[in-house]
Amino acid sequence: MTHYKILLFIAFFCPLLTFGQGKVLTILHTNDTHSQIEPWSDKKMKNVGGYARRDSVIRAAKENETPLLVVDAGDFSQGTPYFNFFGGYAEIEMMNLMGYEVATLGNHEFDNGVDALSRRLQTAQFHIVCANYEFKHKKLSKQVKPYVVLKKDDLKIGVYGLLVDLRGLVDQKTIDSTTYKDPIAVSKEIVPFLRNKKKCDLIICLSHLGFEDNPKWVSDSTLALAVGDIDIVVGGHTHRLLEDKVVNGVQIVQLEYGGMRIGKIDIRRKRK
Amino acid sequence: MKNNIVQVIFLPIVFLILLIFPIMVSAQKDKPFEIERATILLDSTYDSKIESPITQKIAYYRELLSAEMDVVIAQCSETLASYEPASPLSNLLTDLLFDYGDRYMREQGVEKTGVSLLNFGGIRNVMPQGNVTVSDIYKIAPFENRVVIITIKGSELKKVFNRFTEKRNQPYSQLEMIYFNNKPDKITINGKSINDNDEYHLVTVDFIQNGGDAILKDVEFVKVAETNELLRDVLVEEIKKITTAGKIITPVKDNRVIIRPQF
Ligand SMILES: [Zn+2]
Repeated sequence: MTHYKILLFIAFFCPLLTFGQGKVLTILHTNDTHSQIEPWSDKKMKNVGGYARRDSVIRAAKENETPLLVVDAGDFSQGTPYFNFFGGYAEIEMMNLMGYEVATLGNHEFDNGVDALSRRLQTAQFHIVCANYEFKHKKLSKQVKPYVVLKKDDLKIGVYGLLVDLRGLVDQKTIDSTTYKDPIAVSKEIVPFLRNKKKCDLIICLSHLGFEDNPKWVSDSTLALAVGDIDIVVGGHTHRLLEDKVVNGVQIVQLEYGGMRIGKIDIRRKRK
Repeated sequence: MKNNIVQVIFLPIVFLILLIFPIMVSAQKDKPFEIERATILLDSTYDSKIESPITQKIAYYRELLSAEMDVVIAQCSETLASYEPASPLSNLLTDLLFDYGDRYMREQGVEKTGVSLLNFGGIRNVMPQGNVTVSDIYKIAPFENRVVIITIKGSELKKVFNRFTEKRNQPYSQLEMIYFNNKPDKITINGKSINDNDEYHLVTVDFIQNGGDAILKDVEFVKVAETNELLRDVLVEEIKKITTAGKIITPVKDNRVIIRPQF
């Protein structure tokens, strides 16, 4: 009987031990949080979300041994009076406090124009990545990088950003001061560059392209089909909760709207 | 004997399955990583019991915001509601919008006869009796719509309003419409008829300009002036002017919609 119990004990705990092993990174991600600093007060939303709760999850993850990466896929601006009264500074100030490391731009980041955007990005302590746009605004073009390479222990992570075609989404002045480049063509250059030249172990695309099932539209799914070497697409814009979407071997994640949730991805190295 | 079988055959199998299970879960393609993902719904179980830099910062901004939002900008004589075909609230909002747009164009040195136009779908709340705060205006006009002034030929303007029916129309100012048997019968601007070849100002919001609610479907514009001002900011400023003039908000009832025959 003792044998039996010991064996049972081992059988249950051994997998847990191996499961904890090889964990090299935890990613926490958000998208389209839209200035929802306080929890939703709607009856429909049942008091969910808010920066304070998001911060509790991030702080708990920081206490783990596994390295942590906190990212956002754009549209952290606009949606509540906090944005209208404080011009988007409150969101960035608190994203700094929460420990965001990289974010991409969403269309709503441009709502008060490129000058205002550049001014408030000056206060951001996290990287802003967007690879498929050129900005005529000198300062903005320096603040926004196509990609960043981060090192977490011995893991090299390449993070780059993509943004939807802004035509019809922002005012003409902003359109005139930006040049949109095809996200797939850009990815076909940047992904091999990050993998081969920068020797990245992991490639993450922060995408504000949106997720569409229709293959005719440029979206995270067409991107994944065209560029299978991306490891993870952290998406946004279409406010669609993607629970388990793998396209062409690329894991695509997205949450809904207003920071109701935070997404968590654990990365483990496969044993050889 | 039974125990022996369990120990010798069954348990090792369970053991093996449990051991390789985590690898089976998420191994994909030939990538060197396994990805395991989850989403966390941020309900009250994640409320932080202690003060943190974030909770302090939120409290700081919340206080600043409520100081701004709770400012009383006017007094209203009674609760004003919005409904088709014309209502006290939609009349008030379109009148204020027209005043702003007309003044804006005059300041640019352009004077033309004009009207204003909104959509009922964009008016989301009532104006309360008594104190009217900035927050009330945010509830009435929560959308990010900016004011535009469209220069438009009289013929095109008529096209817009001729599509209205007694049952399906939109709020406007400066215009009088007589419906006969549910169809527009006579349309005038401050009592004067509209000339097809004259140019007029249509003060509205970019949502409508860009095809919202199909109100301006297939309508040609001469040109568009973008004010870059949000409708609700314009409403707040115009309402403050009423108060500055020593007046209170009262329901506007006029002849902008006349329905015939009346029974
Ligand atoms: Zn978006």
